[in-house]
Amino acid sequence: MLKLNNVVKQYDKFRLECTMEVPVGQVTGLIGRNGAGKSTAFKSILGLIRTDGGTIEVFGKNVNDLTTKDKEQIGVVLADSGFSGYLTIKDLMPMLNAMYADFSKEKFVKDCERMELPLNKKIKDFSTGMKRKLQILAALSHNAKLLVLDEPTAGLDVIARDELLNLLREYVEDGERSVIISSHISSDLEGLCDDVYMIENGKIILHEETDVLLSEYGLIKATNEQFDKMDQSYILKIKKEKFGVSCLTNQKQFYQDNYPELVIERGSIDEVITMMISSAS
Amino acid sequence: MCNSIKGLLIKDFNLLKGQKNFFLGILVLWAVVGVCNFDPVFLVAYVMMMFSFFTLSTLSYDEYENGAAYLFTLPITRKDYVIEKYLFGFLTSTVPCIVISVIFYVVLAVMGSATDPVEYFVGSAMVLPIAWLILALEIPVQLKFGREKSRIAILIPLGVVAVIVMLGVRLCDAAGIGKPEIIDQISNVNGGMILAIAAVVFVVLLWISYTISCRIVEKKQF
Repeated sequence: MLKLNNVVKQYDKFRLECTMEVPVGQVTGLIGRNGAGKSTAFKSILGLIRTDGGTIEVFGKNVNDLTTKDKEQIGVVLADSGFSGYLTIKDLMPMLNAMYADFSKEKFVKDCERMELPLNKKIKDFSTGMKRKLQILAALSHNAKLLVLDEPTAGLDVIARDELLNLLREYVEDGERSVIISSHISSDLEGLCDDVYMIENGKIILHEETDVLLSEYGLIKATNEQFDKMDQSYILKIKKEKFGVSCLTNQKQFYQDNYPELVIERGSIDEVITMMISSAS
Repeated sequence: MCNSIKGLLIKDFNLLKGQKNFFLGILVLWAVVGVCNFDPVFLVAYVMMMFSFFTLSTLSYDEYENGAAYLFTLPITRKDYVIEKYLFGFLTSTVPCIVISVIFYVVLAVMGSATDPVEYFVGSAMVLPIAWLILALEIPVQLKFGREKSRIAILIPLGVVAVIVMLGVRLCDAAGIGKPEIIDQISNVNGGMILAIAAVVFVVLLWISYTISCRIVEKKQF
């Protein structure tokens, strides 16, 4: 569905080097800190910025060769952009209807009402959360095969977030649609994504299936003495702590079986991010 | 018409609709000017110029809060966007011009002071190419520099035109060609020919403007 092959984008003080793939029917998460390169990657995928190397394929075509018909199959949420604030939702509907062959006005209106979005209010007077909801609903309104969602849950309260994540889960249920999503809220991704890519300083530093990450990754808390004695073959990262060291492993079971005295915490996306980007190998 | 351009036109007309207060302001001012000095051609030109500026304001609205980035993720091409802006500019200057000209003519006819219709409508229509040329100059400038900077940037091409005209006059003076002679020579040329040359120059200028705008938008990164 989507392939980035050695994509390079060079700015003055930042370089993106990214290879990743989103297969059909899969939800893929892109995680990383602010400024790590998530939005740059998304903008490359959408052809909003010119890349300096590599290739991007969407639906098996080079991104620069996508027709408007192809673009109808992509639903987008951008972190820092949206519909013109001087329009109302009522103004948007005929526009979306003209642009998307599969736009469902009835469903869109129903969803907007369910999310308590006013149809006659100018979008610039919406709260951040309302703007986000509107963008997500618009992305879901035209039967897109690929959703490109940059921080879609930013600014949403817990209830709205859950509601929208449920909408997304329903949307990909048929196994024909794919999603690439970034979020700062790792629980969003844990419950939704089939796999995650972690990006730091413009580079992909980890790619793992979410199930594997949650079941096989773990955080070992060891004293210096314990650390020296243990087998370090499956340690990905270490971080010095007051009590000794914290170690990230992708073989939690191995350490649980062989070193029952060690404290081993369950891996979570948050833990893995923290360890991967804040410690030395 | 392709769906993407249709969608963009709908968006821009909706943006226009949102400017009701600005419209009212223009109408009040226009009515005041009209009462003070009822010159139909001037009043038509005034309304048309005001309407044509809406194209430029839609460019600003598109850019508001980085909205252009999202706009280009919709199923449109960058070329569609440029075509639509010229089309919108053409529609918003031409349609009001025709409507108001007709209304005025009817009013004048009812008042019994209607002039020769050909002369009247040619007079009104003469303003149109000027409005289109102003748009053709301003659209690429605003696309390139954005709303704030384009106010300054627009002075550059206007300055260049002024300098060219001034140099032309000086050169003519230096060559000993007087203005009346030029006018005489122009008068000797067939009227149809002048119109044809003017039309060709006009189309070429519009095409240059459109090509430059396309290039600016193609190069934009968001």
